[in-house]
Amino acid sequence: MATLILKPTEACNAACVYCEVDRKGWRNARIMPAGILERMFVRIDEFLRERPAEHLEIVWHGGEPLLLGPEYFDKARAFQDRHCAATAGRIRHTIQTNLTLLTPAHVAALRRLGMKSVGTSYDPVAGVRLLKKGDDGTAYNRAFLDAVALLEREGFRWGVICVVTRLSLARPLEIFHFLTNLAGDGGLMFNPVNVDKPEHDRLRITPAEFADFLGAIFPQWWAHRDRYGRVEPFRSLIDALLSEDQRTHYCQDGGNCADTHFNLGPGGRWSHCGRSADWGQLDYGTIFERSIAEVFADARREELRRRNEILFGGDCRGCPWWNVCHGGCPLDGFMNTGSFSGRSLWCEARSRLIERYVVPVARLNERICAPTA
Amino acid sequence: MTRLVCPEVLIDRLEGRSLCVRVDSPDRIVEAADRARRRSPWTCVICDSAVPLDEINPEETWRGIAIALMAPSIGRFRNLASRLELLRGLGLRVFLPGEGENLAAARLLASVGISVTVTFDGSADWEALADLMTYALIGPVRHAPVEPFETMAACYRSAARGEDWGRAWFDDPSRYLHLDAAGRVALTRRELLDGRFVADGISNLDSDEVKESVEARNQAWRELFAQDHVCARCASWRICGARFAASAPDGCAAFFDETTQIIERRRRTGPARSWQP
Repeated sequence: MATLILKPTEACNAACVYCEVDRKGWRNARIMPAGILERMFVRIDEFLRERPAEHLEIVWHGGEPLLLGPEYFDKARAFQDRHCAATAGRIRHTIQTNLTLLTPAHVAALRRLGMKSVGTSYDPVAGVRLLKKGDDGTAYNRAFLDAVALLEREGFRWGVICVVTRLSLARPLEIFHFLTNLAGDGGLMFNPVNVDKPEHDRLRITPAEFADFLGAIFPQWWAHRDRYGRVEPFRSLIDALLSEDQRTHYCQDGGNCADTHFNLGPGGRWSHCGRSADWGQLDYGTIFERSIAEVFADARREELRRRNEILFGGDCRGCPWWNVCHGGCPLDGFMNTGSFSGRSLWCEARSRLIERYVVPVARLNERICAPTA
Repeated sequence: MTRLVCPEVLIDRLEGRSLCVRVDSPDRIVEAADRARRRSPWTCVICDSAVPLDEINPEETWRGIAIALMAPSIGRFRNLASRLELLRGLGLRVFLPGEGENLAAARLLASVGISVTVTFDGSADWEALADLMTYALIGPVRHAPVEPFETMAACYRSAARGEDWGRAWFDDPSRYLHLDAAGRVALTRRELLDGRFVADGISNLDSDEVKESVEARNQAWRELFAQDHVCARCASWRICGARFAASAPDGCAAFFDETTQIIERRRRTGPARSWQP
């Protein structure tokens, strides 16, 4: 399945303390014009007609996509109906939103796009999620909790990403229980904070700290894993350790994003993924110049395709956990080494989590599959 | 359908409703049941007894009536011996306050085939309750159901939010509403006794205000997450549902954690025995 990270706006209504989106002046960012949105569905139809076995997932991302208003999603549905009559059955929409703007009208519009679940993010740590700089987070928390109640009344499922910062480190189990209690059967994923501004030093964590945070949760999850929805990175880690199926990974660890992911920004520029677009890397031109097939054929993807081979024989040679992370996200590799063929800084977190916590607690020693290129 | 827990005096005014008729003496059970049965798809009779179980004389005429008999204690077990056969044959559940000797008494009644419910609040002896819970859920010898533990087990969901087990105590506003003699409506027995009503008369039973109050109560747990309450961060929340959040008791988390593990164990291995009434 191909995955389109769609950023129809880079504006956001929130002011989360670790967010560095303002580096591109996103608070005043534009919204993708209708012409580009329509063109996107023309391109998608063209791509899916060329590849009859292919499916496409459109991840509505941002910025905050709910800023667009319900009408925008209906417009997308109308364009899809107009241009993808023969291929719509192979298009799936998902969304990643902070939910704080959610209204019943949004829910109805998302439903008309075929969505039955949403992805969101939340951090039950005081002073992290804010609607305005300097507020105490109460308004954000209320809006978020009201929104998940609305989603559940409307029969939607939801999963949540929690960003681990230095402020989270002291209470891993409390955060884990809070989120799994709140989300019910929804999934939960922990990601490390990614900040580079000096004023964010108080939030930054090291790979070892991230591993230890997860390691404090892992025994509880492992002992009672049937109690919870899908909790990441644990579920994927266990799956990857015990099987040779590399397709169970999220994008950052699968080692195959060169052939699966692409991004479209509000101005109609293609990029490799959401992160590459945020960081101004891997620009593949505009939607008017290039088709999706051309984006996937872009020469710069070759470096990403060769990355597995380079790492497996190089920096990652002999690493017993290759199957789990494939050197991590190429963008992280670039930030760490200046090359997309470099290893992610977060490799250390993976190996520490596995060696100190996962293998001993889950007693996986004799069941782990050997690394394969 | 919502069941109405109401005093006898309201039976005639609640025709067609499912009723749990509350009487204050065992002498009233049969008549209350007869009257309710004539007018309603009635549910049961709740008898608040001021005297221990051994001072109550069950009658053959109670057969066929679902009775929740709330007694302060069982009294002397030897005094019950001659009535056990009859008690076992009735649709009777004995409710006891879950404290002191009542916990052992609950086990005793269950062991001789009499269904029993213990009630408790945030000041419970959690250690002693855990012992009874273990007996109730995985005790290997045959015994009658011990509530609320069976309902807890039925309401618990793996990887999802569970249902409210307060129904075992008639304490679940989506299933039971409580009326006083004047027809005022409360969401729980406690709130009725405290004079906290959501409607001031029977005519408002089906009002939007009552429906909204019930829905608000069903969603009240979310407020604990807004407050970052200790219960929201508790490993046991998914089974207790923060039932005792207001009193924030010590020991409840460990009790409910143990209960969760016992329920999961029972689901893995199956019940140790099957109860046949």
